[in-house]
Parts: sequence; C-alpha cells; structure tokens
Amino acid sequence: MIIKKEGKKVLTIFLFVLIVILSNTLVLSQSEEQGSSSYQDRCPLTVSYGDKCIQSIPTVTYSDGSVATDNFVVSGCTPQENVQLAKCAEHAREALAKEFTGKPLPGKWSTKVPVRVRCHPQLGAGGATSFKFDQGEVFRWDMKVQGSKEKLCSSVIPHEVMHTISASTFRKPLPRWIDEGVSSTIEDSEETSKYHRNEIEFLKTGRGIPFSVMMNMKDYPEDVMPLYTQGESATYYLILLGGGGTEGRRKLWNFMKDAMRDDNWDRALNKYYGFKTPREFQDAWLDRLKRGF
Amino acid sequence: MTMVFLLIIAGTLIFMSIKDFEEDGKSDGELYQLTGDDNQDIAPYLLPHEGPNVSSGYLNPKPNFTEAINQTQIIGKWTAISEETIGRRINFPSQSINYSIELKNNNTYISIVIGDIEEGTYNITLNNIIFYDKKTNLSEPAFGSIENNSLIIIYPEYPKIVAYKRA
Repeated sequence: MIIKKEGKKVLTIFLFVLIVILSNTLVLSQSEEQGSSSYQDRCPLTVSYGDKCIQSIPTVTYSDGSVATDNFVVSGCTPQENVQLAKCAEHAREALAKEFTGKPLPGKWSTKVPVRVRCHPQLGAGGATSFKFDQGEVFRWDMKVQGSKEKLCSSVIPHEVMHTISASTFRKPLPRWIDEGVSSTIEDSEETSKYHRNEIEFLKTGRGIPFSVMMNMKDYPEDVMPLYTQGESATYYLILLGGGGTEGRRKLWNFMKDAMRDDNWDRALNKYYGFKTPREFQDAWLDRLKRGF
Repeated sequence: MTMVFLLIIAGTLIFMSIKDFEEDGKSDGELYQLTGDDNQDIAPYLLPHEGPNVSSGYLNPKPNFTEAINQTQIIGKWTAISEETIGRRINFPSQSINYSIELKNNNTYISIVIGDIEEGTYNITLNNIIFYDKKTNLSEPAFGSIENNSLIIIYPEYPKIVAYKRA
C-alpha cells in the first residue's frame, strides 16, 4: 500500500518535471525562431513614430544632429527625432519593397538619400522627392518632408520612400496617377479616408479627370488635388481587383512593370484586369465607388 | 387553331428581328455601343445623391488661373498666410510662423519654412514657376497666380497650396 502511494508520488513528480522541461524547450525554441527572423517580419507595413519593432535598426548621429542609416540621412528635427524618422524611412524601404515586389531592393543605394525634414505640428503633412534619371540610372536623390513627427512616420515618409522604390525599379518616370496612387495607398487609414472623402466631393463638384487623360498624364495638372485622390482611389480599386492585400499589390506591380515595358497602359490594363479601354475601367471604378469601397 | 395563330405571330416576330439585324448589319453588342455613351474623354462625376454621403468639412478650392503672371508682379518678400494640403487648411495668424518667400529681380529666391532655408533661382513661363534649389541643383515645379493681392503658389509634388501676402 505504502509502496503504491510512493510510486504515485514519484510518477506525479516525474510528470511535473517532464512538463516543465517540455514547456521550457518550447519557449526557448520560439524565442530562437524570433531571434533569427529580421525585425521587419515582426513589424507592420507602416509603423508609428517610436515603434518598438524598428528600434534595432542601426543609426549613426553626426555632429550637426543629422542621423544616418544605411540608405538615408535625416536632418531638420532634433537628433532624437531624426533617429526615429531615419528608422521609419529605413523600415519603409525594406517593408514596402518586399510587399510590392516580393523581395527587398538589391543592396544599398550607392549614395544615401538626404531627407530634409520640416518638423512642426502646424504644418500640413506632405513631401516631395526629386531625383534624376540618366541612361537607366537614378541619382541625385533629394527628399523634403513636412508635418508632425507622427504623421511623418506613418504616412509622409512611407509615401516618399515608395516613390524611391518605384524610381529604383522602373528607372524612368511613371505616369503621375499611378506614381502618386501607389504611394498614397500605403498611407495610414486617416489619410486614405481623407482621400476617399475628398474624391467623392471632387466628383460631385465637377473636378473629376477622365481616365483616358489621367492614365497618360506625365505632368501635374494645375488642379492637382483631384489627381492625388483619384489616383489613390483608382489604384486602390486595382489592388482590390487583384485580390487585395499583398496579392493585390503584387499583381498591381506586375501590371506596372508590363505597362512600363512599352509605355502602353491600355494594353496592360486589358491584359491584367480585363478592361478594354480606360473608359471601361473608369465606369467600373465609378460604379464601385458609388457602392463604397 | 390557337396553336397556328401563335406560330404565325412568333414567325412574324422572328422575321422582323432578322430583317432589323440585316438592315443594321451589326451585332447586338455593337448596337449597345451605338446607343451607349462611348466618349472616352468624359470625366467621371457623381450626382449629389450618388455615392456615400460624406462631408470632408473642407474642400480645396479649384485654382483660378485666368491670366499669366509676370515677374514684376511677384518681386519682393511674401509671408505665408495659409497653407492647404489634402483635406487640411491652416491659416497662419500674421507673423506667427516663420514661413516666407522672397523673389528677387535677378531670378533668385530665398524660401523659409519653419527655419528651413532654401535658396536658388527661378524661371517663370505663363503660370509655371520652376524653382532650382542651389544646394541640390534639382528643379521643383510650381504654379503661381495673383489673387486678391495674394501670391498663390501651388507646389504639386507635396501637394500644397500656399497663399502669401506682401511682407
């Protein structure tokens, strides 16, 4: 009887120890897996200012307060703010390239992109990126951004970095609607909601742009705001048609690559999305817009 | 008897539709295209009752470029009084924000936005102002106009519309 009782005790202890060992092994293997993955795999596509998941991105602070990562040099705010914004830019470059193209950009840029920041809560969010194309190469990057530090990280910098990814991939200017459209679709939900609301109002006040005109526009029109809202909305619609999310974005990227081969957007639109003309695309988009995205 | 009567009516209808088809020489699809609105260049629009009922609370006004600007109109120092971006307009109370542009006779400019100074040259063609940043030697396109004694500059790449008054 006593032996039986002691046997049960030993068995219980043995099982307890076994469970502890197994659970520890499981936790260890999980943390090892996390350690082996890159920081981007744990981060969302766009991050918020000061996000923990981008803190491991290495930076160098120069004596003038500007901050460098592998591909960007950020100046204009306090050194601490420059650090966070530089990390946002570096993260956007890696994450957005993977999201749209399926892989990171090949290597670092030969020269870092200077990012001049006008950091002020009273400024509207916006930015401009200039560069030169010559013989299939992109060089002399210059990025100017403005707005609150939160908006800079969640929307403005990813938008501008997306332009650099497009330029690095296509090595020639994209039509404005899709260049701005792709870049605008990845902004935060507050900004994209603004685009949608404004687009509805532009369409109700006679400021819509015919798709036949918009799709070949290489320069900005004087009434520029509808180009951004309509470009964003049309691009978002194509992403939805392609299956939404990563799948939709990659299909969009392939469509863009195909169209850029011979600069024939009508042909590529038909091949990838089945629309015979820009007008057919316009009508389908408008119909979807009426029902709400 | 009824059956024969129905067959005659059906036959007549079939004959008439074949005749119409032959006269037009077009398929149903083509007939649809003729009656449909086939203009490729029609701008998309929504009627007031169509689409989601939204109100942004703010809508950028459509720019009004009625006349070309000339250099003499815009020479001098201008202080920003408002800035508009997508869905946002900020009115700057006088001198509350360090935001200005100075356009000089010799086609040079100095732009200051919250302490960030940019210098360079500019060229004007009709309503287009092209700024060339001295530091980077890169161009930045803009549209300019004078409205109610204010200088309006649209920077399409940002995008932002800045209204300046004479300093």
